[in-house]
Amino acid sequence: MSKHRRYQLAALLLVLVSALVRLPLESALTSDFRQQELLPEKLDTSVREKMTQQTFAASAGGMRSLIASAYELDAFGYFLQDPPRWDMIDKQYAICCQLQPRVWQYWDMHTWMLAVNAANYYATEGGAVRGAEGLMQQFYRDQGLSVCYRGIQHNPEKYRGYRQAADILVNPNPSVNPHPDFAEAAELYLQASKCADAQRPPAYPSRMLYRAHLYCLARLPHRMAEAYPKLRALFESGPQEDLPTTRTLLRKMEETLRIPLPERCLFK
Amino acid sequence: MFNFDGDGVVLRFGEDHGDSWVTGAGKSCWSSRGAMMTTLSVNAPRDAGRERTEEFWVHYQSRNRLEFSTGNCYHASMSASPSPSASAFAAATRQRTGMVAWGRRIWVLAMHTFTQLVRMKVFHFLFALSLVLFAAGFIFSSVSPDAELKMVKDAAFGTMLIFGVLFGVVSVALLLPKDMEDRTLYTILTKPVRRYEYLLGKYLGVLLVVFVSLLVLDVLASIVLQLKFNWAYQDKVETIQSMLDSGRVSVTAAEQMKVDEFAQLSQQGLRLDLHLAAVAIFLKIAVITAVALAISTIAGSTIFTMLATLCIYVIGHLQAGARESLLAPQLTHEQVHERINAGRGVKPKGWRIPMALPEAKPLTPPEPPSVLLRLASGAIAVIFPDFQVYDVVEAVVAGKDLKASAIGKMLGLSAVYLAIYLGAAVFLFAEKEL
Repeated sequence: MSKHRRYQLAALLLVLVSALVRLPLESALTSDFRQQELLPEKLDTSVREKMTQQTFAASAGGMRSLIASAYELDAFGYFLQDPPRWDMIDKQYAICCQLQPRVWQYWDMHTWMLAVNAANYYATEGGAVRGAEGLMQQFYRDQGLSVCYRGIQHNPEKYRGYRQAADILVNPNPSVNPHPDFAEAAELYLQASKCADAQRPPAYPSRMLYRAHLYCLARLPHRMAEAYPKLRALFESGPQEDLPTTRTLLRKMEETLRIPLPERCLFK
Repeated sequence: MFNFDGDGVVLRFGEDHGDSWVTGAGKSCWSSRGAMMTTLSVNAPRDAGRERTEEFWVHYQSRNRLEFSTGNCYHASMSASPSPSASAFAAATRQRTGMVAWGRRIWVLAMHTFTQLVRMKVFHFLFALSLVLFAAGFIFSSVSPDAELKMVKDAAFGTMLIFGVLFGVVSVALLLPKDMEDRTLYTILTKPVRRYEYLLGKYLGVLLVVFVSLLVLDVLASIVLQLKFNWAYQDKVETIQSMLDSGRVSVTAAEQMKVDEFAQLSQQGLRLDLHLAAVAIFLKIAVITAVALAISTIAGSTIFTMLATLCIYVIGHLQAGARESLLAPQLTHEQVHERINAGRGVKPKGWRIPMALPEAKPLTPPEPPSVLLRLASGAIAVIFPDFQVYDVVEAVVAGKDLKASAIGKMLGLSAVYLAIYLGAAVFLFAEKEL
């Protein structure tokens, strides 16, 4: 064997033998980074069908974030069209969400586009076939809500997901949301207020969400008795909680629950 | 110290200067480190009238003839009269031993490579293209300020990655054949420079260019991100102010909202973690460049090196999956079936997702991987590096904290990779017929 061949063999052996050291190191580092949520999630195979060959290759090549941003930009382009292409917006944001499911921003935008913008568009602009407006509003509202719930499944520690779902459920627009679900929204607001990111200083979201939870409870006749002492305690906790909605709801509950006049907080 | 009046000295520079003969007149002396410092008034057609100081490395001497090379790898010879004294030659040519001399040789080669690369058109082209791509991220606007800030970061890091990987691979693929083509390689290897020193010098030179370029892009990105952040926050403040003016929120609530918005927007603003993410990108480029160097030592053409390395780059991102399939215990058909159906019907802890779940149907487990598939996974895991561990940038862009310890671990793994792939390159180049 020539000297050159021997060196080639040595190079090959170096690569192969070093794998004994390398593989455990790689495995340890990967699991450590996955635990810290630093590494991207495994790419969903279904996303391949929705992307072009090049963008998929680029995503696999470590540029998932950039590709997701490009798809978002594309979606924004469809949003600016007149009339907006809601189907394409849905499709592009779905890819963004699949590429980076841990980035709440995409779920947030996807939900907002469908449940708020698309639903309101059909409520106000009447872009659908005549008579099908209500159907389209409901469809996009439900689609948006479904996206939001999927986002929560991927990001259960972020308060914004719960809040957004609750906001959709209690949307006061009767044409988009004819049956507000205060019971579900109350649970969602409560869950949101408990999230760590809502409780970080200045802790404004946590208080606001808890208040929203109580507002929802106060609107449910069968849970008013539970809501009243809590909302009253919140009202009496400081001047910053002396808000018009709180006062209105307290007054309504005191009347509904037949609280004796001297015991009413607003009587004093 | 030996003073040498170089009156009448004739220097012939090597291939880089073609047929330009230069005559020098001026002062030459041996530096304390044994190198000959020469101030020359050059009378060559190209450099007429210019004066410059060069440091020469003496590698051959006789009574009245001296051969030496410079840091710029010019090969020069000198016929001198009067000839330098024997002691001066001895001082100049004394064998430099130890790490300092070794490091110095590599550094000289690295600096030469740096200069060579910076002068190449491919660098200017790629850097200009990077700046265009970089700027594109700042031009487009999006619906929310958060999305805009993310886009700025994505564009910046995407640019760094694309530029770094392409430049690292292309320059390594070009340098070795170019040195062979213009015969610089032969000139260098006739000097007391070992082959591995040449390879390391080239590699460090490429990395130096990449490092400086990434530094420039990082500084630019930081400035633009801070500006965008300020504008975005200003927008938010104006929105809150308009809500306050219209009586929709109280003064206290408005103040709280401002603090909250600032805290939330800061997650997308300029943070130290972003610079650490740039370090992760640099480490990734260092590894892929080392792989490219190993391939270029056996490759017959530049194109082959580039294509093969870019393929390895993509495969490297799938290596984690192959490794997991190699190291995972081999399950039987029944075990796979049990595992798949074990989790079904189990509700997640905590809050229940109130969406109607599809009817549970018994799942058909996939076939266990064949022996051939496991062998292929094994080959991928053993030969290729794992590039996915460097993909922490996405998490950082999304607002996740990146600890310095994570970068430390990444640095350790990169050192292992560099030892393997540079070692392989050294072996492959050691006895290569040039």
